Amino acid sequence: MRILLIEDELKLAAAVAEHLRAQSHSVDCVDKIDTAISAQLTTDYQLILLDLQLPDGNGLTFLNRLRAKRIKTPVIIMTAKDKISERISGLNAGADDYVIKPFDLNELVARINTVSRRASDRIDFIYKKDLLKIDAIARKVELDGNTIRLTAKEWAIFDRLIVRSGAIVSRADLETTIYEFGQEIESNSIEAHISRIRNKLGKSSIVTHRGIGYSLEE
Amino acid sequence: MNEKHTSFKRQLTKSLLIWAITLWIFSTIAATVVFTEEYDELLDLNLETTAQLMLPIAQSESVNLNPSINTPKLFTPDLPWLDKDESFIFHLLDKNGSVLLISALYSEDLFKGLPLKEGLAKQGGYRLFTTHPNSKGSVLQIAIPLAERNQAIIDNLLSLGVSFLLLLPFMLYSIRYLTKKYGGVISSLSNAIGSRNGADLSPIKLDQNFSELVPTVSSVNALLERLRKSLSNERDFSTNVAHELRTPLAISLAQTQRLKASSNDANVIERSTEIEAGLKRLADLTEKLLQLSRSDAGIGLAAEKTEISRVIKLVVDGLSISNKTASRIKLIQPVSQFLSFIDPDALAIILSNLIDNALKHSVGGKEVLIDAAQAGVIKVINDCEAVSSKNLKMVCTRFQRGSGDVAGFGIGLSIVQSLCTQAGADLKITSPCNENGRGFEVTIELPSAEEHV
Repeated sequence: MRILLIEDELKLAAAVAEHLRAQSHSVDCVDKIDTAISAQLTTDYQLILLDLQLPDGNGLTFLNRLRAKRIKTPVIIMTAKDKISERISGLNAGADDYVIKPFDLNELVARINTVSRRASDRIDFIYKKDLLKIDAIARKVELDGNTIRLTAKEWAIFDRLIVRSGAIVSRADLETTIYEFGQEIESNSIEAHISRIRNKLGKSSIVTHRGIGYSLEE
Repeated sequence: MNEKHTSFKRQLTKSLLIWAITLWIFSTIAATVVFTEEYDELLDLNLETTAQLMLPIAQSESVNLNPSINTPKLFTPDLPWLDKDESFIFHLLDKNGSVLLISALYSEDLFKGLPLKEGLAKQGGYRLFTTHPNSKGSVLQIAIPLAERNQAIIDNLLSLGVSFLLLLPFMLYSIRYLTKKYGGVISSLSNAIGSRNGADLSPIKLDQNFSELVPTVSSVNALLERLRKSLSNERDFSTNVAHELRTPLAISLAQTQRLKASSNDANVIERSTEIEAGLKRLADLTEKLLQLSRSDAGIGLAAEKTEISRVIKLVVDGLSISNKTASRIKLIQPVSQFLSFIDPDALAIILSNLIDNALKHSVGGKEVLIDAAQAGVIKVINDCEAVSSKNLKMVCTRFQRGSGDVAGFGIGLSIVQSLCTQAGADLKITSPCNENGRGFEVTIELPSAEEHV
């Protein structure tokens, strides 16, 4: 999942980003509202983590702007402001959840999963096809009862395909999902990752729609 | 405080009424005395004048009358200036004191013993007057019944009494109206001061600026402003401190968790786990101390109404994701909307402390029930050994820990009690709370916004 992390405490941002990357997410970190606006304009994020007290203003300004443009990207507010009245203001402004600092990184991941699951239309996140079983919440892939280990990027591609299950996901979309700002996108890297996934899970696990994109086998 | 309070307006009305009636009684007595004297004087003058005018007429009527031969002659003067209704009785005496003429209704006893000296006298229920002897030495003695003038005085008293009785309701109404009008300023000042609380410290404004009240209002407003600034600084301090304390804690915790997650060294993992536990405990303590600070700053009461069901849901939802024991929380949601003037943050602090407490003390990981079905009533119930009545009395004491083997700081319930008191909510702690003689139940009954108004 491509995540935008808006946090001015750089050491906290670094630890959170590192943890999320370890969970197969791609994370872009910005520390100001202005930069966040630019990042959001250029990239289709699947989730935004938003601090409220930023050097150039209140994070709710960014959230209000986002919602005013009818952008439905899930937003989790991540703040030291713990008052329920502030939480209500944040949720009223269109936030999907509210995490109070200091937080457990695993709790943050649990909330990200809950919010992204809620944001997508899917009710269950278990994909089954023939001998293949994927639990998107537990991040577990089994083929004929054997657990298959996927790399972070392979899992990120799979996660995106599961979230958009039933739809064709473009190559650009998958590139956006797995590459952060500043990372060089290698040519044919998506094809390479998908090829490796097919080797692990079977050739029919991912269907190629030539010139359009990819989807999970229905 | 068992002091008996009396109403200022009622007391003022009562006092004014008593004074008005007393003054009226005294003034009526004084008026009657003066009236009686003046009336007597006037009637006496009338009696004297009548006697003086009648003497020459009677003298001419008595010519040739010899008292030694003739009996006294009945004389009925026909005088135009003499009031027919006035029943004068008189007789004319010669220089020897023999009766020459008598009037109708004459009685010898009436003038018996009356000296022949000019002047007024009172005897036998009559007012009497003896004239100065005329040139022939004759004297006229005249009498008029006192009953008439007594009746006049009684009539006067009655007219004063009746007029007073007629005026009494108007006087009562006037006193009550004026007391209400001007005493109302005191009432409105009293209400204005009485309505000020942690949620409303706005300056007091009076409809009528009576000079006597201006210094009081100015002093109260100065104190309110000082208190408002003080409380505002205290609240701002806890908000700012919350950010300053939480951010480094968040950085430390996140970095420690990353260190733990990224290391393969068992020693590093073990030590980072210990640091993580210490940081979490520090975070919990910070949280409690910030709550304590807010509670001491008096955040319990809000200026605006709070819909409590949303707060309950937010608090429980927050715990449901973050708390590892969240699956043990069972919420019975409110069935209807309930508005109260409790501050939403205060309610959230109360609930999080009660739920946290219940989860910690619930035996064997049993369910914690949050029953908010009844409007305005929230019950948090957990299963545990019954708490002795001695310990039950102490559970709300600050830094008093409930059980030695359960982690905690012993301030959660004292914060709950303090915030409930500020918000006017009833706090009831019961143990045991079920038929098995077990369990711990905390019931909070919030005041309705309508009742408050």
